[in-house]
Amino acid sequence: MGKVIGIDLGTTNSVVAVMENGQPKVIINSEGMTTTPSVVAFTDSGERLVGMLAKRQSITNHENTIFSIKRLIGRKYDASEVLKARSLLPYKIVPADNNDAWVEVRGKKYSPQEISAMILQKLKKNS
Amino acid sequence: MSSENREDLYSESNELNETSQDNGESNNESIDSKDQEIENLRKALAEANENLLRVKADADNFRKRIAKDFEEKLKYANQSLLMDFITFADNIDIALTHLRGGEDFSIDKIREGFELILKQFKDILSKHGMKEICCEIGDQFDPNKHEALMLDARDDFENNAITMVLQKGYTLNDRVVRPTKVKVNKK
Repeated sequence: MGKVIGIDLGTTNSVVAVMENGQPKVIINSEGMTTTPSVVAFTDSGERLVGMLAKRQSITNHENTIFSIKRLIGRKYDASEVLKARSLLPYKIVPADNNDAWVEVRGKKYSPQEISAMILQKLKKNS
Repeated sequence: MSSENREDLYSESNELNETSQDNGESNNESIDSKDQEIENLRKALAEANENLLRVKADADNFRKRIAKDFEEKLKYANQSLLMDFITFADNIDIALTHLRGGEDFSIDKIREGFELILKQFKDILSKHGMKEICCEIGDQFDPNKHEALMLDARDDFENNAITMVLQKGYTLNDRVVRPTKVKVNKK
């Protein structure tokens, strides 16, 4: 039987746990922590950083560091939550073709789902 | 119908009867053997179930024992590290006794003593796998080992260069446990 895993894709941090002998066990990431910050950054050199590394460089690269992306998932660009997020978040939030709230980093548009997928990929790599 | 034919028929029906009798006997036999087989399978199943229970109980006991062992190990895992810390505390004690002795030490002597104690402490850390992350002013910021806490805007430094080290970072067995906290230049 395949393993049962549980993922908490949080606004600030994400966690993965796996069922072992009927007990959930939290998987520790490559930095030795149980939680991984839900942060994705795109550096000057075009590198993509996810998790703790992205968080550590966030103030040097705030326009290209995406966090709290969960707030934008499934929201329209002109929704009140997005309006509030736009005033608080340092990265660029742009409308997609269907008026969904997307983000623009270094001239490229990403959907909140894509950013979340990058976080999930990192979690998957750890486990 | 001729008498010859009748005889033929008679003999045929007799043969048929014989075969049906044979069938009856072999049916009884096969039912017996099936009963036996079912009985055997029942026994085998009961045995397998019992084995399964035993294996499960064994695995359970094993898991409990491992958890207990682990707890016990954890309790004393720090022993060798703490033993090294005791020597460190001893040296501080000796230094303080000397200082309290009333003798006048020059500030240079005291500094030298501090440096020696610090060196010894760092040796203890490195012996246990904890090493300082080497970081020089002017190095390029690297999120793998540095954490940017503040920004600077200086012309005499390159973009993304470290202009100040705010707190030293450490690795434990090559894993960054505390990144070096730095101030980074942004032009």
